[in-house]
This record gives sequence, C-alpha cells and structure tokens, in this order.
Amino acid sequence: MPTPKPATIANELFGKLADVIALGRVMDAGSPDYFDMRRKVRDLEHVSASEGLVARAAMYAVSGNPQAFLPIAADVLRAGSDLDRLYLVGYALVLGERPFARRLLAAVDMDSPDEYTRKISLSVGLLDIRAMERAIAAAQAAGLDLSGLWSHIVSGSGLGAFMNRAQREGYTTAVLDLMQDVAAKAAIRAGILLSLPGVFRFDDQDGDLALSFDLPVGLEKAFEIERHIDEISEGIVDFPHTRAVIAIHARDAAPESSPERSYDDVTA
Amino acid sequence: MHATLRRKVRQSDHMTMSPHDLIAVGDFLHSADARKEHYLRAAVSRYYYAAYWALMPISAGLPAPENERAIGVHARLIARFLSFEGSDKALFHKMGKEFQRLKAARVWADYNPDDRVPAALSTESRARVSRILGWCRMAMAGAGGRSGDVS
Repeated sequence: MPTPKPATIANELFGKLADVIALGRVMDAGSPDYFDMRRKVRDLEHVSASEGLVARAAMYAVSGNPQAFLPIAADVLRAGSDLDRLYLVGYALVLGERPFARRLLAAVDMDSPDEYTRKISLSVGLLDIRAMERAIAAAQAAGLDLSGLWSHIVSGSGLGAFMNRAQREGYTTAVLDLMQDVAAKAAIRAGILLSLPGVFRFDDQDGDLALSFDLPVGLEKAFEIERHIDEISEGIVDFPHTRAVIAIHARDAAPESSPERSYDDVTA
Repeated sequence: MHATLRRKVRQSDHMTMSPHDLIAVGDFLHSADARKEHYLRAAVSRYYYAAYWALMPISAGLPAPENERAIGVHARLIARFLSFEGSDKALFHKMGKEFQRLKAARVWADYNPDDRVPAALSTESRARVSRILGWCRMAMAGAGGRSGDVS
C-alpha cells in the first residue's frame, strides 16, 4: 500500500476539521473525531514545519484557544505559503478573529485555480465584498473556470464558523452577519450560474440587503430562478430572521403590456 | 393559530380601502404612461402597500419572533412570515420572501432617485402582489376557508 503524501494527509485532516466544525461538534472533546484529529495533528508535526504549524494552529482554533492560535498564525502569516494562509483564514473565523482573518487573506497572492477559488470564497465568508469582486475579476482576467466555486464557498468560507459563533452568542449579534453571508453565497451562486453581475441595494431604514440581477428573461423564468435560489438558501441554513434577499428582475417583462396580462401569464 | 388568524382578518373588514383599491391605483399609474419614470415609481409603491395591507391581518395572527420590537414594522411583518413554524411553513416563507422582494423594489423606487427604475419593475411588482394575494387566499383557506379582505 503506497504511503500517503503529506499533502494528501493534510487535505484529509483539514477536510475532517471542516466537517466537524460544520456539524457544530467543535466543543465535543469526547467525540472519536476529536481524538482522531489530535492523533493526526501529532503525526503531521514531523511532515513539514509549515504544515505542522498550520495543523497546530487549526487544532487550537477548534479548541477555542485564541491565545495559542494567534502566535502560530502570525508565524504562518509571516513565513507560510499562500495556501497555508488560506487555510488559516477559516480557523481565524472560528475564533471570531475577523481582523486577523482579513490580514491573512490580504497577504495571499493568487497564482493557482485553487488559490483563486479559496480566496474568493473566503472573502465571501469575511463579508469582504470588495475583496471578493477583486478576486473574481482577477480570476476571470486569468481565464479561470470558476464553475466549481460554489462547493468551495459552502465548505471553505467559514459558514460553519459563523454558525458556531451564532450559537455561542445566542443568535443575536451574529445573525445579521450570517444571513448576509448566506445571501452573498447564494448571490455568488446565482452570479456564477448566470455569468451576470448583480447590483447590491441596501435599505438604509431597515438595514435589509437586496441583490438584484437584471436578466434577459421573462417573468416566469425570473420567478423560477428566484425559487431555485430560495431553495439553495434554505438548504444552507434555515434562519428565521433573514434580512437579505436576492431578486431577479426580468428584463423581458414586457413593460408595454398591461400589468393584468402579465399577472395572468405568471399565475396560469 | 388559525382561530386567531380568522379573528384578525375579520378586524381588517373595517379598512376603508382594500388592497385591490391600491392595486387599481397602481394599474392606473402604470398604464397612464409607461415612459414616465415617476409614474412607474409610484405604481411600484402602490403595489407594495397593497401587498402590505393584504399580509398585515395574516401577520397579526402569526407568532412574534424574539426581539421583533427591535426592528421596523415592515421588517417585523417579514420576520413573522419567515420565522413561522407550522404546517403552512412553506407557504408562509414563500409569502415572506416575495414580500421582501417587493419591499426591495419599493425601496429602489422610492429612495433611490439616481438608480433608474425600468418599466419592467412595475410590471414585475404587479405580478408579485398578485402572487401574494393568491397565496393569501390559500393561507386563509387553510385557516378555515374565510378569505376576508384579500379575496
């Protein structure tokens, strides 16, 4: 049986960590997964200095120990690879260390499809829409296929971290962040599916967030797309107080026709 | 919930204008001159308030989510539909989402004079309020068959 390469082990480890975080079992120190992870982290320490640092930082993050996490993460920020920094962004989010997560992400130079997609998805997780737009533009300029971005966004953008934070804080301060995060994810999904830019509109009075897409479709198609987006959003997280919505505006809504006829069309 | 819903909808019988009256105003504005943007903006706003007043009596019969007093009355209405947990959950969530989109259109029409409103937004808003009224009828039928002022 061939010996797994260090990178494979690391990927498996980080995949496992992400699963555990997403399942909200981070604090369940007695679970078999937890001990399995600890063992793997110990095994990794001799693999390479860089990966060992990242693995230990990750362990401290999921253990809820920012004091131990931050010095190691600072070493990674200074001397680690871009991929190492990308890995730690999610773990900084686990700890609610958003400014540090932003520093890590800003230090990443993208030069591979994996780094592009991760940087884009993590910028979504950070609610850093400008960073996301810059990264998408850079990726598109590089001619990269971003069709697989959505899976990275779901698994790698810190959604699990947001959910844990929301639970810890009693679904109060984190709720709006989370819902805007989910809306941004769904928006990205829609944008990728449709390859069209959207327009963010904020409701200054209520603080709601709407993302609008003008599409060359009729009303029926627009409503069908909206239903699809709603299903995606519901599938990610079923939060009751969402303040964000994605609206598809039908460019071919036949404005010259009578509103009544359009109504008949869409309700038939 | 359903008994409360019926009682609240009966209270809405005292309204001096109905959602359909507001829709009629919106249709008048939309049809008056679709090239005049201010007419279209006003039509979007009327359609929004038609939906608001159709949903309000139903919303009054729904459980209030936590901390709802911290948000505005319009956001509160949406939150009640989106937080509803019951046999009609899918229907109520759909109503809440649609109203959210209508609200976003209304904010666009009323508060963003620099952001051009296309005629299609008015047509779309008309379709949304019609969908909402149809769902209101379904919700009321589920509540015992009384359709109140939204029929």
